[in-house]
This record gives sequence, structure tokens and C-alpha cells, in this order.
Amino acid sequence: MKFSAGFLSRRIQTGFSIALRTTVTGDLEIVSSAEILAFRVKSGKTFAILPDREVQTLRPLARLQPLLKKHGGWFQIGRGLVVNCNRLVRSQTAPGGGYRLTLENGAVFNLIAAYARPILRFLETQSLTQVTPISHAHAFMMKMGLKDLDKLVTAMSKEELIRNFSPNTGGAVRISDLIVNFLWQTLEYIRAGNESPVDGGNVRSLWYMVAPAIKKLDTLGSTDHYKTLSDQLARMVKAGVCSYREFNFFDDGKWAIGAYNPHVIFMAEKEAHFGMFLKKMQDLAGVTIISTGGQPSGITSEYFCEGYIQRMAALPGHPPTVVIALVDYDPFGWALQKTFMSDLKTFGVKVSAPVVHLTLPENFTADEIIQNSYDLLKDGKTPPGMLKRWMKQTGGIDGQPFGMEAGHLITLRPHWAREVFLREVKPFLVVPAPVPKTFWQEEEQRRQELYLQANKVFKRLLKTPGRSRPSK
Amino acid sequence: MCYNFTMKNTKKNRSLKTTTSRPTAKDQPAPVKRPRGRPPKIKTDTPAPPPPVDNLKILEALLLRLVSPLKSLPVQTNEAVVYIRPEDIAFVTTSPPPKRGVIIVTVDGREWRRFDSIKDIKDSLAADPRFFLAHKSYLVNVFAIRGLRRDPENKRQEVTFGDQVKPAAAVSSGNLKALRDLIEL
Repeated sequence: MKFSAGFLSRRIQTGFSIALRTTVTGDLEIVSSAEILAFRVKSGKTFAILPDREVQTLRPLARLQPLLKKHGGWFQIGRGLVVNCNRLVRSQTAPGGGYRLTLENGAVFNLIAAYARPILRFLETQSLTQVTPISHAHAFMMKMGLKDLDKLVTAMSKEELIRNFSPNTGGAVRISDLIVNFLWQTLEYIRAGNESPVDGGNVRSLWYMVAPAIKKLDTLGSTDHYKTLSDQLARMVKAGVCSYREFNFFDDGKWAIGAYNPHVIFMAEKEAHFGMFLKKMQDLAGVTIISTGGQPSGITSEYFCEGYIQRMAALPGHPPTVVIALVDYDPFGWALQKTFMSDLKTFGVKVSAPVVHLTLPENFTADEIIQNSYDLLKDGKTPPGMLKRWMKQTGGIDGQPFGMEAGHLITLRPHWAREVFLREVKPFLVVPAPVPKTFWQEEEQRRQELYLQANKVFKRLLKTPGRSRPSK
Repeated sequence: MCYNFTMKNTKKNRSLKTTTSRPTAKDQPAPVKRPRGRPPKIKTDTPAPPPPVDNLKILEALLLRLVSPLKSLPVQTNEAVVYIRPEDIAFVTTSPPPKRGVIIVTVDGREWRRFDSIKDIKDSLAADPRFFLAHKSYLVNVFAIRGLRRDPENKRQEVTFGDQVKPAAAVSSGNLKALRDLIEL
């Protein structure tokens, strides 16, 4: 059996004798080196740091060093500071840089990063802040500001909140850290098998839970902390730490999976277009439809992808996913569509084919463009960099920074819009349009049949003697 | 100096031995033997001390009971790395799904997480004889075991680790005998 140097000192505190000076000149106190947490050199004198006191040693540190080296586990962590790492219990990032080492009795020492290598070698580890291997989710949450708390954030007093979430250097409480820890605690509660406290609610329901804790800090009025919560949750979902489904939020997103050609996703930016155009196109071609209603909601995207993946899993051998977009022909429309594509990727829907856009200048007449296009430069809403990128991608209208709204395509000439859609979607359809029966009609017919069956059974039961309840 | 050749171990003499009576000390003078080879062993009342190698083995076994020869095991918390002494571990078990990794339960009842598999932990603790894979999901510290019982619900054998450690570690029937041997039952 191979024993490492100094291994016994961590349990029975064996060591070599160290002579300490006492208040009486000439008298000495002898202690075991294992009792000493560290040696510090101050103004040329060496002091031994014991759990309850700091005493000058008889010999200087230079004379003690060979003994410490022989015994093992003693390392220099700063200028003139040597620490007994046999008694190390915890290491973490120090607020001002470097690392914070905590020894057995709670004594804390700051380790300068340049001195870390021998300690890492001694501990046989690669990092003093992260264990290898570490889960991607945990590493991400550590970066987000997760803390070791022994109490629920919502149950903390004002003083506890300040103590836990203020930076060590002083200053205001970090609300984003507080919210991240609240979200993590809620998630851990749900993952322990408990019912979600916001079951059937929405992100605002989570906000109502944490708002009283933030209110204790008297900072509610100054910043929109609901947005902070929503953003932090979205970051966690995007990083794969959790899903909206785990919280079981309610979502009435406007989407429907196609019955015949579900692999074709027809997305629109405007909510109104769902009823005006998307549903009709679904009836015609059996495609999947979704209206994002401006910036796509994370919950809607997740639930949509969940439904889509389930549907596609039931249809093995289907062609790859295709996205057809009905968004404004301007930088914001393109950005929304990109966000939607990013959401699809986040929630596990792979799209390799390029997006097919319907709102393109070639789908409008010259008159329509003259009458309905708008100058993006004059508009002044688009940031120059964003406009430049979009112009590079699309070329604008005849090389000019002009845009067209998606609504013009479906309102000016609805039949033409239908034709444009069918023309673009045709190469991707498995069941050619028009599909045999519209999904809505099928659904309605199925319901009618069920009703008739139930009605027949009900009538039969009523006619059967002895079945009816005797009247009193 | 003379030698008594009559007592020589020959065939002839052996046959004579059976027929003739043994000569008494009075009849013959005691033969003076020449010391040859090893000196005869002197029997004393005190037992002979064991060879020094046995002492070392006992000392090693006692030391192992006291402290593990391995370095502290780092575990991850939300904001730090905590170092757990292998001798303070009660048992290691797999995290219940959907979580991954292992849970390390210490003798004071606290639970810690690591993100590797139980096989990896077993390999890293292989040099310490206190750890035994009692079940495919439980690596137990045999020196920390405080009880062996049958679970009243599923009738399976499990080991307990004292009042501070609430959960028990399962023992598969195939490993029960080996475990009983290890804890000297």
C-alpha cells in the first residue's frame, strides 16, 4: 500500500514539533505542525496561524521550509504565506481574482492564481473551482451566479438577501443573481418530484413568487425585474438547463401540426395572418403552421417543437423539414425569422434546407412596390449595421433600402398569394395539394360520428326496460 | 572421547531393540555427544515474537481503518469545490433519473454530487480496500457499515450507516456473501 506524505495528519493531526515564542522571554511553547493552519511572514518575523491565535515562531520560515516540504501538504499561496493544505475542505473563486481556500476550522485564505499549480498537483485535480467531469448545465449555472444557499430565496430576510447577493466588495444586491438562484431552487423543487408551483400559469406567475423578496430590498420601482426574470429563464432554457415544460406553463400559442405534409413548416410573423392565410393554406396543403406574433415566445416555440417532434417520430422516413416564411421584407422581419430558426434548433428541430421567403419583390407588381414600399433609411427605426447586413443578404428593392410588408401580399391579391404559396411549396409536398380532405372537415366529421354513436347508445339504454331509474 | 556404536541406527540394531530391553542409565555411562549442525531448540514458556512483517501488516490494517491512503475526493457544489476524505464516505450511489452522475453520502448524512459514473468512482477509489461494490448502483464503505438488514418492503438485503445517514445501501444477493466476509460476519 502506498501512503502519501502527511496523509495521517488530516485525521490524527500528527506532525513535527514547532517552537513558538511566548510572552515570557526565553520560554517556548511547543505545538504540533498539524495544529497550525498557516505560516505568515510579517516584517521579517514568522508567525504561526493557529485556529484561535497568531504566534511568532522561534525559527524563521526559511528554516521551517525543509521540514514542511518533507512532511507534505504545505504550500505557498502568496508572498510569505504558507498554508497547510492537508486541512483544505473547500476552494472557490475569490471575488477579487485568484481563489479562496477554506480550511477545516473555517479559516479562509486567498490563493494567488500564480501559486495554484503545486496545489493542483497535490490534490490531483485540474481546477480549484470545477470538478471534472462537470455537467454542461451545472457549469452554465455556476457562470450565471448560482450560490450555495441553505434557505429558500423567497424565505430570506432583507439582511440575508443582502449578505448572500451583494458583491463582497460592497454595493447593491445583484437582482439577476437572486433571480437565477430563485429559478434554480424552484427547478430543484420540481425535479424532486413535487408539483410545479406555477402549474398552468405563466412566467409572470413565477414573478409573483419572487417579487415579495425583491420588494424587501426596496428596488422594485427602479428597474423592470420581471424582464430580468424572463430573460434569465430564457437563457437557462436556451442553454438546455431546463425547459418551460418542466414548469408546466400554459400556452395558447397559434400553431397546428399538418395532417398530410407536417414536415413543411409555414411560419408567419403576424398573429392576424394565422386565421387570414395560414389556416387556409393548411387546409389546402396539409402543412404545419405557426404564427409567432412578433418576437417568437420561448414557451410557444418549445411546445410547438415538442408537438412537431412527436408527430414526426410517428412518421418515419418523412422528408427533411422545410420552413416557408411569411415575414415583412425588411431587416426586422428577417431577424424574427432568424430567431424562429434559432428556436427550432434549440428545441431539437433540425432544418438543413434554406428558408423559402414569400414576401419578395418579385412576387409584387411594379405598381404595388411603388405604392406600398417604404424607405428604411427615412424610417430611421433600423440600426445602420442591421440594415447594411440585410441589404447585403437581400439587395433591398432594386438595390435601394426599401421594404414591403407581408400583409400586402395576402391582402392586395389573395389569389396570387395562394398561387405563390402553392408554387413554392409544391416541390416539398409528399401528398400533393389540394389534399384529399381538409383537416378541419375531417375533425368535424369525426366528432359528428362520435356524437351519433353516443346518441344511439344513449337512446338504446333509455329504451331498455329496467335500465331507467325508477321514479319515486 | 568414545562413541557408543551399539545405538547406531542400523537394521541389525533395530531388530535387536525389539528383543532386548533398553539399557538403563545406571548400566551405561551417558554418551558424550559432539555438537553437530544446528544447536538444539531451547523450549521456553514465552511464545516466540512474530516476524516483523506481520507487525507491519497489522499496523497497515489499523491505519487503513483510521484513514484512507487516497487523496480527498473533490465534489461540486453550486459555487465551490468541496474536498471529501474517502474515509468519511458512507456510500456512493447513482443519481435518480433524470439527473446524471452520482450522489456521495458522507457519514454525517450529507449528500454531494459528482458528474461521473459509479464505475469511474469505483476505479478512482480502487486503491482503498474499504470500498466494496455491494450492488451495481451502490459502492459502500465497509468500515462505515453499522447494520445489515432486510428491507421490509421489497425483502432485499441492505446495509445501514448509523443514525445520521438516513438512506440505506442495497446489497445484491450475489455480493452478500463477499460483503459478510469483508465485515467479518
